[in-house]
Amino acid sequence: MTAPLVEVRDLRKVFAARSRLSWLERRRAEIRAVDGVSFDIGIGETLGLVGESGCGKSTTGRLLLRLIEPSAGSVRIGGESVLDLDGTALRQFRRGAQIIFQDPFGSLDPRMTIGDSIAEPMTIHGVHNRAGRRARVGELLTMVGLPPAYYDRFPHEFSGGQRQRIGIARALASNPRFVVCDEVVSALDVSVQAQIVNLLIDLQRQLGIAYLFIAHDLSVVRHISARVAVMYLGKLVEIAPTRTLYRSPGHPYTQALLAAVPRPTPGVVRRKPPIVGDVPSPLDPPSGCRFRTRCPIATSFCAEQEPPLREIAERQFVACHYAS
Amino acid sequence: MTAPLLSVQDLRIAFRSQGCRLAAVDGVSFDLAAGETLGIVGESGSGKSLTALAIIGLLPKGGVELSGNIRYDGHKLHQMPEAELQRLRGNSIAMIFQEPATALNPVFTIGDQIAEVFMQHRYASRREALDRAVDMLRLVGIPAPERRLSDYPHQMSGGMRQRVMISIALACEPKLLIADEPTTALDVTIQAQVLDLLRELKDRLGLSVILITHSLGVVAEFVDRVAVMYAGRIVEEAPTADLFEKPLHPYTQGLLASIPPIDDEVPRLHSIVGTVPPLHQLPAGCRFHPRCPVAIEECRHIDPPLRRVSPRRQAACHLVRAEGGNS
Repeated sequence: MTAPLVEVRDLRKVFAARSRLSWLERRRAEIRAVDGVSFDIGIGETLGLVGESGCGKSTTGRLLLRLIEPSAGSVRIGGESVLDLDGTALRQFRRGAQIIFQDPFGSLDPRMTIGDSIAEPMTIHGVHNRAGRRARVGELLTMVGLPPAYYDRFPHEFSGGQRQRIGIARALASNPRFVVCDEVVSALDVSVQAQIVNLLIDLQRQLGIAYLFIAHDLSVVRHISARVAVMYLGKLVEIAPTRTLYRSPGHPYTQALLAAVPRPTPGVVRRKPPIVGDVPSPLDPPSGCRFRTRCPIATSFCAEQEPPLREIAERQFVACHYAS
Repeated sequence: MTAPLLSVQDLRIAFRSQGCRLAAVDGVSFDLAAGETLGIVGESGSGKSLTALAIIGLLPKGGVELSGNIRYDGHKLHQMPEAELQRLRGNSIAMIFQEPATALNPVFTIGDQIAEVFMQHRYASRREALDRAVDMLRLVGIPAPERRLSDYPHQMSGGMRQRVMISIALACEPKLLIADEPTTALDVTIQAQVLDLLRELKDRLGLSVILITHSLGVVAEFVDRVAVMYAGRIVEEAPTADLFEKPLHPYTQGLLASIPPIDDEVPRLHSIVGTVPPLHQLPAGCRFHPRCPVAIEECRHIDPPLRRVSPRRQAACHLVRAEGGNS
């Protein structure tokens, strides 16, 4: 087996927070947004990363690219230790690793033509001269299914789906090997969402890019990912090949997530979701297994001992004492 | 057959903007029987939320042209004076919105906000009203309701806030509940909880519900009948099971095929080409024809009306003949 492109080991991010117990008493508190996460992504592979809001999935994506600085752990991309880079080396690294965000309107400068926006990474990295950049932007626009003549238009002239195509074109401008896709289709209508998912899959086949595909929509994630990781309150609770995870989810949380998705098939009655209540506050997570307060099969042991990820089937790793 | 609880006839909503007239809802008609749940599905800009706001009389006043008939339980809502409409709202028709955080007032406790409904509509004393508020919080499954009365909205999670919104909407035992994307902002496990709660309350209280959503999964689970909207029009209307089993309109077919299946693998997702046209660039003829895979010459020029194709189904497509099926 070849070495993975992305290797993440024991990644952690602690945010300082102020928690006020009363008017008089303040205490320093911390939120462990990402708490010891490890995984690999192969060359040209897509790893889906799912979980509910606040579980740390977006923070994980940003940590990998050092858009925020990790508190501890290691990230190697293409054999290079990302956390040790600085200056020119860090800039060089960022050419090869890009991110696409949920809201492409928020990430495009409204006063810049979309062509200039797409060319900006090349300008920064000193790739091509002006004419060369224009030609390359034309190529990129074609690649994402837009006419090259759109170069001189402004973001407000485009629909949400078209803007997301522009976001993708800009991410591709520096020929990345790895792209973090952070909820890239969540804001789009169903019919347009399918177009963007198909485009991302086509580009991956053509260019051999690896994706970390962060999303809360489990159906889209199943369709695009080779493997899927599930996060809950800053921890990975399960990571497995897509088919295994969807057919025989090992962790009670994964099972609950999948059961809760409304099926577009009338008459198929959803199994009553076996979990109740809300996600606990990350300021004060439960002891032991963090899911135990909502888990239908938790025992007193779960409060004492945190379950490590262990392999329960081929390449299926689950952090639950009782998974088998 | 008894008269429907709600009957909307030829509803039209247009905005004036920079000298042009934008028809956002263009001739929408439907009925809702007592105790029935109707889903209105569509993508952004289809006019589904505006339709709901028109029914409940909450469209902005300035710059809006509104026409059509809205009859509700013997009242003509479209001719009703504001004061009377206000009495009906909250009492007999209630609405919940997508984002409970913006629909709740951040500077009042949730107890006060629920109690307000009883004080306004039932002329209850504050004391009585707060007692009723506790009952309502219990009804929507909020644990230890007495202790949550003094909470402010920001102290609650999104799911809890939506439960509070539902308790406010249901406080005066309305007959009709309009729910506009009630679970869209919620996580999937919480969405399941809120949908279960709504279903249980609907059965227990005999509510009629209009559920507005973009999610076909939510529709399949929750409603009896579906109206699919596209660019300001209803393009298809059918009982839920029939619609999912055999969608007639090419738009509905495309929409259903675009959903990645969660219980299966498919080689490639179907997608509808292009995007929803902006209101100032609506195409001539059928509004869907530039994106339609089966459009014929007729579709470019003649706008297909919504026609009955079987006793319980309607579709607006030249290629859909009576008795079902694309010819």
